[in-house]
Amino acid sequence: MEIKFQDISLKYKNKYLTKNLNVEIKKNMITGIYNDIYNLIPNLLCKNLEYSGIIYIDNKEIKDYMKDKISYISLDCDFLTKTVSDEFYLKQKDLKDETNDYIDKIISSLNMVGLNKNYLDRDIYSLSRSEKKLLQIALFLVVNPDVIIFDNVFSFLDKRNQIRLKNIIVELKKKYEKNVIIIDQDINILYEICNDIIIFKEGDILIHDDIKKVFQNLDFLKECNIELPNILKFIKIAKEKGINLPNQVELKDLIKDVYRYANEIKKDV
Amino acid sequence: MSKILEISDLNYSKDNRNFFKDFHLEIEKGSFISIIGPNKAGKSMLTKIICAIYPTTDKCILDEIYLNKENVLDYIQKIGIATNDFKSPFLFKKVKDELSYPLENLGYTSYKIEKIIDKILSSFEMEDIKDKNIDLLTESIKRKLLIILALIHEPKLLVLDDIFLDMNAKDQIFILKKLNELNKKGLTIINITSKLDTIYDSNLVYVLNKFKIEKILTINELFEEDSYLNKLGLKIPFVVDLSLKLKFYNLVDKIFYNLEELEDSLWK
Repeated sequence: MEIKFQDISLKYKNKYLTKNLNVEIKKNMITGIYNDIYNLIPNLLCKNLEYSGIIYIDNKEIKDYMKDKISYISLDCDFLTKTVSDEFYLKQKDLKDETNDYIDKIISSLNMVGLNKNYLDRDIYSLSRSEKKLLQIALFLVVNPDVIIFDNVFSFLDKRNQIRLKNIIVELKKKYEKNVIIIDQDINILYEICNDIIIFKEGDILIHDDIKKVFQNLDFLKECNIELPNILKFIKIAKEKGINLPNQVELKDLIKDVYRYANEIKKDV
Repeated sequence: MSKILEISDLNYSKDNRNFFKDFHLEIEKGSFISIIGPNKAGKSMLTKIICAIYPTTDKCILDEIYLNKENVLDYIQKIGIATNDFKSPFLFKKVKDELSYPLENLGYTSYKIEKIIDKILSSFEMEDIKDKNIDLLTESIKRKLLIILALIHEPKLLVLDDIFLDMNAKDQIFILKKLNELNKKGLTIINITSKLDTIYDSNLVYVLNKFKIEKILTINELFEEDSYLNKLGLKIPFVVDLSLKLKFYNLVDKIFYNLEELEDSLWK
């Protein structure tokens, strides 16, 4: 799904949150969003706000587009029913799914997030915070949306579940060709999984480009006060000491570079 | 040293599910401790038990007050809690009104309330938010506001439940520094957290897993047990993780908590 925001201006209580916003998100991308303090992207896509300008999804105006094809998973865990299976059957009404294999879709969704069919009879309020978050994700997967927005979801999950979610997102993009939008406070999460990144500053877009390109220009990011991912902080400090290491995403690759370099120094000494 | 908080023989179950069994916890007065643990360890539940949100009878003793129906108001007066748990934790639209409310409940005059609010906002360098609407604040600033609200009635014990989760890096560093200062002035702090990069100032770290305290360690001791932490599924902070891996290859000789210091040692 190609998403295009054209000349969007949005007011809230007599204050402009953004003016003449223009953004194009290409189809089948994992797009990171950083510092969107007014939550513009999810609010514009998912809520019926009054804005000026046009939003296009695949060249069709968004008002003609089915809103339930855009899933929004956020900090607010809003469950409407008593048990896990009740939530799924409520979702089925949205889907207008009359098929007999809905239960298979539910179980496959639960398995994908690391829960299982034993959760079906559980009361929602008895679930832990992380289980509720994973359930939200499972509920949205069963709907088979085209665009999925994850809003600060990673911070609630422990390492094991974070890795699981990362794998789900990569599969959503590669195998199911979805658009995934990841909003997060933690720049490291975005650096590790996103293809491109949109960095906001007070409601305007500071930069939108391929993530590796954006993080090549460390001086520009410093000028704009953008937090660097940890690996790049390390590489920057090393550079200041006269040591040139290539940009990496995975820690294990960084360690290999450091080891190689340190051994070269030893050889020279 | 005397204890500020003691929980003994706690058996806690809800709706036919058993959680804490024969649970004990002791916190020394004036200490700064962190409680860490994987998802579903019972961290949130423990916070709610300590802060009397889930009621218990005579199991929690805070500054010699036994928590029960009769004493609950005296008990909670001594605690400040800042938690990530509630969807809309604020009662009012404006920051000023939100901060005034607990002080009005204490019967203070408007003049005194104004002075206290100005003083605490100034000490957190947040004077500019006093007249703002809460809903227009960023998540990070809202978290800082929750901490200020927890401290405004001068409690003896501050309990933080994953309050650093939506804080940006700069605010996190500032708040930890502020908490350190307050701790040195006598405030006992319990930092319950899933972010291990917020525990460096703690005297001790309690590891909670499946509703039991599995270990009580110093920071250095904790990070030496990296395979245990990995097994629990806890994310080791970047600098510590890097130190451990570089130490394995004999490129550094200890665990560092600061990136500059690590690189000074590595590239010397």
